[in-house]
Order: sequence, then C-alpha cells, then structure tokens
Amino acid sequence: MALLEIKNLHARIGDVEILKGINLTINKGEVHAVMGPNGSGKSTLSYVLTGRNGYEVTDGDILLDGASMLEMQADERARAGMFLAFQYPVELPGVGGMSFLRGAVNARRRDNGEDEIDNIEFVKMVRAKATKLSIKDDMLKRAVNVGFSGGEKKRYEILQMAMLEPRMAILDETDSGLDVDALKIVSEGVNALRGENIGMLVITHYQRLLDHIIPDFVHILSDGKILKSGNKSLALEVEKTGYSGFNDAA
Amino acid sequence: MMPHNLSKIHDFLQQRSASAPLTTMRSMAAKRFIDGGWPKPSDEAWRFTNLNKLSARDFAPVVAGSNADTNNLPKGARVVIVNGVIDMSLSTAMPKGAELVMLGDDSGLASLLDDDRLLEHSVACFSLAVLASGFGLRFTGVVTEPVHLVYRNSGDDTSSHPVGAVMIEDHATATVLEHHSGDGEGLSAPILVFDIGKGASFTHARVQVEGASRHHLAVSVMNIAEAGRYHGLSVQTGGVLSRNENHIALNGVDIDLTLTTIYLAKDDQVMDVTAVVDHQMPNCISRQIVRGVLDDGAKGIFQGKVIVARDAQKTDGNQMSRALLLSRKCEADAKPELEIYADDVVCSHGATVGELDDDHLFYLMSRGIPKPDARQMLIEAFLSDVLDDIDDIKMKNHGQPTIDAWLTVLKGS
Repeated sequence: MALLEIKNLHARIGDVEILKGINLTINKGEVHAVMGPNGSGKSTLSYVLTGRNGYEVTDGDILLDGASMLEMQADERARAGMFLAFQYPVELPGVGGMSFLRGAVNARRRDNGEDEIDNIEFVKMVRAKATKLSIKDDMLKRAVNVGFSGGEKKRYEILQMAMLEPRMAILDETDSGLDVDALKIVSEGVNALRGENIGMLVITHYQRLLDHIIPDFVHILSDGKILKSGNKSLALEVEKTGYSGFNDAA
Repeated sequence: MMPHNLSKIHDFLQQRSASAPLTTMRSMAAKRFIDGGWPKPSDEAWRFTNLNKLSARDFAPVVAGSNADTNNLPKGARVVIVNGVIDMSLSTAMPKGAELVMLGDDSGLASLLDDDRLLEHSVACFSLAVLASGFGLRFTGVVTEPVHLVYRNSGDDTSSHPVGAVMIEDHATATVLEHHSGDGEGLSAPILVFDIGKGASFTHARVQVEGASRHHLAVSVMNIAEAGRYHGLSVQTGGVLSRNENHIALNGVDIDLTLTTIYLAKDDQVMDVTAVVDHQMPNCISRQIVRGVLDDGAKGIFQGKVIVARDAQKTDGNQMSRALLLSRKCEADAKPELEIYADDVVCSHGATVGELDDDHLFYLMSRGIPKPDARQMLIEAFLSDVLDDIDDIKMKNHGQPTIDAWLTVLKGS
C-alpha cells in the first residue's frame, strides 16, 4: 500500500482555487521533489496535507496508509506520522524550547499508549540529535525559534523531525535563506533521516537543494497542477530551461 | 431623601453605638456615601464598570464572624478576617519586628485612613462608614517571614468591609500576602492603606479568588517615602464583578515601584483593574504591568493613570496592559492615561488587545500537540514574560497556583 496518496486534490482559499487536481503517490522509502515557480501552489500543498485551517478541500482525497486524513486536525495528522518542516518557522516567545519538544514527543507517545518519556532520557536524546545538527545547548534553552538566525531555524526544524520520527515528512523550501554551509548541515541532517520506513516530499523552487537531497522522483507543479513527472534529471532540465519552458509545453 | 436600596445600611448606621472607634471619620464617610450613593456609569472613573445591578441590591453589612469556610488557612503568621471582621482565634502570632493592633487603639495607624483618596471614593466611604474594628499592621524592622492576610467571605445579601492599615517604618522590610475568597452573592469591599517609610522595602502579593457570584470592590491606597521600594503582584480570577483599585503616591525621591497584575476571566465575569500612580518627586521609577486573559463573554477593564508632577523630573514611568481574548464574545476596555507636568521625564504607556495567533497554534499542532494543550502553552507564554521577571519567590509562589488552577480548568472546558 502507498504511504501517502494524493488523489485529484482540489483546494481553495476563500474563492480562489489554488490546487486544481493534484495526483501524487509516495511509497515508503521514496523521496519526491515538487518544484514550481512562485504562486504555483507549493506551500498550499504542504499546508493542505498537514491540515492547516483556512484551506478548503473541494474535491479529491489525501490518504495516509489508505485512510483519508481530510477529517483529521493538524495535530492528529502529526501524531499519525505527518511532519512539516516550515519554510518560515514561527517564533514563540515564552514557549520554552525543551518543554515544546517534550510536549510534542509525549503527545505522540500518549497516542501510542506509551508512558511519557523519562526526562533524563529525553534530554540525552535531544542533545545527541542536536549535536549532529550543530545546535548548541544555549539554543535549546531559548524560547522556540526566538532570536534564531534563518539557518538556526531550519536546523531546529530538522531537529524536531529527528525527535518526532515521522513516517511522511514534507520539507517546504527548506533551502530558502540558507547559505552554502547551512544548506550542507541541513541536508546532511535530512539525509541521515532517509530510510526505508519514511517517505519525503521536498518542495523547492530551486534545483540546488536537490544536489544535496537527491530525489527519486521530481514533479513540476504549475498553476495548481502537476505538469510533468520524472527522475532527478528533470530538475536539471528546469535549471536549464526555467519553468516557462514547461508551461509552453503544456 | 435616602435611596430605598440603602435602607439596611442606613438602619445599620442608626443602630451603631457611639463608642465604635473613629467616630468622626466614620460619620463623614457615612454622610458621603448616603448622599452620593453608589458610583454611577456617568462617573468617569466608572465608565466601563457598571454597578447598576449591584447597587439595586440592599446589602446588610456584617459585624460579626459567620459561617464562612475557615479551613485550610496558610501556615505561619496570619491575620484572618471573616466577613470583614478580624478573628483573633484564627489569627496567629506576628513575627519579630511586626505588630498587629486594632485601629481603635492606635491613632497613628488609624490616621492613615484620613485620606482624600478614600474619603472621596464612594465605595471606600461605604466601608469606612460601617467599619467595625479595623486592624493595623506595623513593621518596625527587617521581617523576612511573610504575614498572610486571609479574607474569607460568605453570605448572599450581606457585605463585608474589612479595613486595614499597614505601616512599614523607615528602613524596615516586610512581605504581605493577601488572599481573598468567599461564596454566596454578597459583596466584599476591602480597604487597605499602606505607608512605606524611607528606605523601606515592601513585597506584596494579592490573590482574589472569590466565588463566581460574589462582588468584590477593593480599594487600596499607598504612600511611599524617599528611596522606598514596592514590588507587588496581583492575581485575580474570582467574582461575578470585581474591581481592584490602587492609588499610589510616590512622595519622595528614588522610589522603585513595580506592580504586576494578572486577571483571568471567563463566563460573564466583569473584572476591572484600576491604578493611579502619582509621581510627586524626582528620580522615581514606576512600572505597571497588566496581563489579562478573557474567555466566553467576560469583560476586562484596565484603567491606568500616571501623574507626573512638575517637580518630578527624571521620572521613569511605564504602564503597559495587554489583553488576550480567547472568544469572540469577550471584551477588553482600556484607558491608559498620562498626565505630565514635568519636562524631563521618560514615560510610556500602552494597551493592546489580541487573540491567539493562528500561525502559532498551527505550528504547535503540526507537531502533534493537541489544540487544548497548544492553547494552554500559548496562554502560559503570554503570561510568562511578566511572571519570569518576578524574582521574589514568595510573591511568585503566592500567585502562581491560582494561575495554574485557572488554566487547568480552562483546558478541561
């Protein structure tokens, strides 16, 4: 069975239709990239998949392990295994980073009928994973994303992903705002999480991220529809011809 | 002609023995209350808090203790006031350097009540008029042990009028922890006068958790002398209608004042936080920080005024109120005012009203955190920036459980 199945997905904000019939199937172990120009519906796709309010699905379905997620709230989808690495992670003044991470980990454990995580074990786990992402202790102690640089925010997203061990991860323009060094750290973090039990959907405007996180499949999104699908060479084609070439072909 | 709804109060005053203490002041206050009656919506100071329902009731002032719950009293030094009347059998010994007296026996402390901020305040006049005994607390040295003022109230058509005067003498140190609770539909109208001497340091925490049907109209006035320090925390979650009013005069140089207020209201509660900080002398710092959380159809009111007299140069006065609305039906009114007559000052004030941020909620929920927990985390975060700044642990521990309890109930609802 497919891990994530997006069937004829139509969604709108208010009266404006943004997604106009998206079909995409992601199996366990696969990394898919969705590329598209600004305004093609990339971020909307990530939000609709993860259950953000304000988007209305007018047709189609989203299935995780064959079960529809449309009626599920964002938190239920997350506990079912969905994860979104935000393009713009929000700052949460007053929300301590460690209690936030612990709350997220425990919410999932409660759903699985497990006891809350032992505090010492938790701190060890966070530290170990943070070190791999070059996240310092000082950053962990701060309020969520407050005072973080752009690169730090993205690394913190990947840390959360590592802590929550999702089955289906969506990375929304994870490369935006990153310099070469930060891009390398973040990509290595993501690659370390690749495996046969996780599916990934990497949303990006530029091909350069895909030099670091090499996808199994690439899809071109334009005007709310997937115009073309292929392997990683499709991304290089985009780099050469730009998105306009695909629009003309369509 | 006396308004009908003051008949019981009038009877009470008629039957009053002439030997009750502070006769002159009481008669003056009685005359003012009977003549003026309850505050009206046309009074500018009561524009947002309507007492029409309250003033239609005919409260009978209580003179002796009654069946109020007096279980679970705090350990340590405490003064217990039941329905406005001090109960010596429930009160305990004061720590060294502190003294508990009756106002009738201590003209020095009693004279603190002779204050226009009280005698020109109709609700305060009501309480002064029916004053039965009144208590005084005098701190003469460095007292680290806190003194609890425990107010327990009960009754439907009765009103309680505790009156107290607290003096912290020059260079003395004191901590007072107030706690107001009660049941029934009655009224609590407590008055406190604080006198903080030169170089004295006063730490004050106040919790108001009256029952859901009670009315609570508190008036406190404070005088602070040169180099005095006041740090206060007020937390309120109780009462169908409540007002906590503070009038603070900074009468010397180099005074340091911080007053943090947290009000949490739901259902159809009306909660009013009113404060006047009057800078009379140079080089003083005042900070008023107010955070309100409102749910259901609750209404919150913040009225804050900072006055800076002509001589009060180099004043650093700051006042900031933020209200968080959890429902579309609740309401927050704010009236921040600055009245500045000096030219070399740094003063700021502001009031904001907002809702929980959808982006913040989504971020937390996208990590699997259920909505009620996510909301709670964000509300705690909203309050934490002021609570984290409180370094006095006794003060914080006095207020925090009430906040936690309120949030727990909110999460479950």
